[in-house]
Amino acid sequence: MSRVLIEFRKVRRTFKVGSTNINACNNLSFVINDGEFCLILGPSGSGKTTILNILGGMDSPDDGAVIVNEIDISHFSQKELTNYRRNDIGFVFQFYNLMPNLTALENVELASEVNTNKSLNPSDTLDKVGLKERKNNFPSQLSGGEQQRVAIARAIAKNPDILLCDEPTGALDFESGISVLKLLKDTCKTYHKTLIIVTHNQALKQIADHVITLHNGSVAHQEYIDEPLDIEDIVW
Amino acid sequence: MKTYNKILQRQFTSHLSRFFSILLIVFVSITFIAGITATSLNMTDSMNTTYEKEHTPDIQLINNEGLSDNQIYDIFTADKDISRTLKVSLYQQKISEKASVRFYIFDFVEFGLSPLSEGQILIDEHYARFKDNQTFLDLQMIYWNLARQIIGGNAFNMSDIELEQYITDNDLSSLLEPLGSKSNYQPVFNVSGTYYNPLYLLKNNLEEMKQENIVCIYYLDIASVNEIVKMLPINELYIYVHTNGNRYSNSYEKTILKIQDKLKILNNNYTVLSLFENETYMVFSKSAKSIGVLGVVFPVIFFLITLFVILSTMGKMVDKERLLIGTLKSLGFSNTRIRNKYILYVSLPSLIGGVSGALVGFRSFPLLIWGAYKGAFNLPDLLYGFYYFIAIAALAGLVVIILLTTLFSVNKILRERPYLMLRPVSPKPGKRIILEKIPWLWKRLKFKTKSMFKNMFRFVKNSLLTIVGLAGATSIMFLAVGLKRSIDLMFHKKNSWFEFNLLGSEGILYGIVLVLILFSVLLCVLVIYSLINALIDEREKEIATLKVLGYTKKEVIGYLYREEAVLASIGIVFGVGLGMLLLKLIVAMMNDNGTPLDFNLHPLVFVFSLALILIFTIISGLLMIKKINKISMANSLKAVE
Ligand SMILES: Nc1ncnc2c1ncn2[C@@H]1O[C@H](COP(=O)(O)OP(=O)(O)O)[C@@H](O)[C@H]1O
Ligand SMILES: [Mg+2]
Repeated sequence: MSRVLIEFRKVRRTFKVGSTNINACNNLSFVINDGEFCLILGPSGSGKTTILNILGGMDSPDDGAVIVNEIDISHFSQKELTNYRRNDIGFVFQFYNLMPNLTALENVELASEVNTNKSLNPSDTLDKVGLKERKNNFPSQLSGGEQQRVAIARAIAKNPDILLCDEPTGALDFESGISVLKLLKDTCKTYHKTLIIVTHNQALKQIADHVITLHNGSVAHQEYIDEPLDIEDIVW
Repeated sequence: MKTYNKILQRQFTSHLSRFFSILLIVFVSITFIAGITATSLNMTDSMNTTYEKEHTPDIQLINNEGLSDNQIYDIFTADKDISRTLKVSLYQQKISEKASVRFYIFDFVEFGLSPLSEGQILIDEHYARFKDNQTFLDLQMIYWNLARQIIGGNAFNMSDIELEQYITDNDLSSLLEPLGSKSNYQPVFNVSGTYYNPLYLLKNNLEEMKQENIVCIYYLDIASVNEIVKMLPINELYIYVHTNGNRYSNSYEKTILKIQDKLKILNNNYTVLSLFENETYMVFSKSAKSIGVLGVVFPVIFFLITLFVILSTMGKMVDKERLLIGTLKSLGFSNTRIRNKYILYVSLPSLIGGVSGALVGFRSFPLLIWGAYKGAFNLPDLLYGFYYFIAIAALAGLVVIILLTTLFSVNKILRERPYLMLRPVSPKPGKRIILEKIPWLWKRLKFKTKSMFKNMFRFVKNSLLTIVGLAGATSIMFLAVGLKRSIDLMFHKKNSWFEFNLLGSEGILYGIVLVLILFSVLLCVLVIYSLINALIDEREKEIATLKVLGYTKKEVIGYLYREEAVLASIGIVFGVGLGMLLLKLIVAMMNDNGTPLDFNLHPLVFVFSLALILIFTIISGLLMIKKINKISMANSLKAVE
């Protein structure tokens, strides 16, 4: 049994919109083990992005504790959060968020730069995500799937322990989506990284080790899958 | 319709700082342009009106022996442009060794004033300015009484009053002694009003008058004086000329010179003086001309810089909103509606800033510079003109160009296919920058430096914007400081870098230069601020991405500012060069207009203008760090769903 890497303990995050309060996370608790592939599933507006933002050190909860590697990050200062993002977190977005004025290779270099002592070689990383031939292309010259691969290479080039992906296939067609998911899963298994993917796509349910289903900012259902499906076998 | 209104509203709320920077920069520019161009017009207009109102002669003919009626007739008929003549007797009476009183005697009705009744006299306005001063009042009392002696009773026989001994030591009590108590001397002449003589506007003139010991000037109506006074010789002839009302125009100068020549040929035992021999007129005309020069060159530079800044910030905004434009279009909004959104956004601040700027400029500038003039002149009150033409021309020019170019950049995006609109613009593929072609150098560079150079060379347009913006700002700063130096030298002040002597005849130029420096500073601050503001807006997503990657505040700022610093430095170097050229141009133009400026490049001119620019750039940069730090990763990178 592997150890607990991440724990959300009664987390609440409230947004004020005008005079109403929206609880994006409410009394939210769950644990994620080290090296696990965890899928957070929920309809739009159920708080998925908020969870990822908190876990990724881009936002802080209003209440509760978020423990990562035995340290509570919920009260981290801006500086500590920066350090945390720098060392522990790789982020993949739905819309890639690459630097439009840097080539694929330079985008990856940008990430490996911040953490030179443990970073991976940018060029090798791009080779591994299958973009050997496209290194000198700009994001706008790449397809969505290819851009997402660059984003993945950028996220893992820092060599973080945790990879967070917010709807990584949301903007992709089926084929590219499948191959991106496969890449994510394989990479994380090879490098022993904890992979957390957030999606509203029910079809992905069977591919992860651990599925957390959200409803209105709280956990509605949890499931551990001993024998996850191969990614090639899913359809949507 | 409702959604469209919401979109419009959001356009303003989400680009508020850009909105205000456009508004402010247009305001400052139009204030300056309207103000400075109006100033020289306003000055000459006020003077023209005064000359007209006070019936100032265009030419004065002086002959100490007196002119005969025949001579006067010949003069009157010498040129068809002569409209009328006026006979004037000037009589100057010495009332002590150090004091004379001057009388002008002419026909008031003919001159254009209402007639005086017997015993009435007009005092010159310039002397009457001191009328609140008790000493002055006492002296007037004496003059009046002396005047009675002179012109009234015993015509010009001073022997029975030995004044010298009293007035020489300027001792008031001893002056009053022979006259007894003040109340004993009811003057024969009653000062019934003042006459404002525009020929003695210069305070210097008055000083000279005092040095010539003229302690007061009076005007008498020939219709109301006694026979003896009427017998005085006609030793001055005022000549009036058909004019277009503008005594500062070239056609006026031509007409006067032509008549002057004819009069000189006619007879040479008199002196012909025109306004061109009048010191007041000349000093004024020169200053108006030098302001005129500055009033052309500076507004043009201001106009161009403003235009440039607005164009670049609008261009950046439109580019940034490509995606939004694409979305709107795919939602079925018509091109016109999409265009209107931007037209409204840019014309609103331009018009608000422009109209208020014109109002403030027309009102405040001439007053400011008039204030400086008042140090040197006994000026009439300033006549404000609202020069619609300048205001409308500058504003319309600005707005039309801004609208056209904004439309151009929106259209460029609208013409693309919608699916392309939803993607960012791609830089030219695989373009290698020059430095990459020198491998031994390139390999040695750090990634930071490499990405800096790449960004600079890849987005040439953006880089040029920073360079040109900074060059413009630097050039006006340099110009203003350099001009101050040249003016210092003209007044032989080698080391008065921080002095602005606003009094005396120097005050005029120093006043203007002070205004120039202040507005150049304002414009520079706005230019630099807008550039950095637009830059950060444009690169918000990149900044957020860097933050997500775990870049520290310092690293984020470094990534952004390193290239901007290099570009700004290049801009500043060009700006200094441009500033030198402009200074040379202005000095040459001023010289042509009779202001003997020197083109002087003291090292401190460089030091001060560079220091100012660097300070503003660094301060704007530092202020913007707050904005960079405030960028929220979660919000900026939110998926557009
Ligand atoms: N910055 C914010 N301001 C206000 N409300 C927000 C903000 N971010 C998220 N929310 C609200 O919180 C809820 C959860 O949002 P989010 O975490 O983005 O959901 P999901 O990613 O599952 O679609 C939604 O109702 C959303 O409107
Ligand atoms: Mg989401």
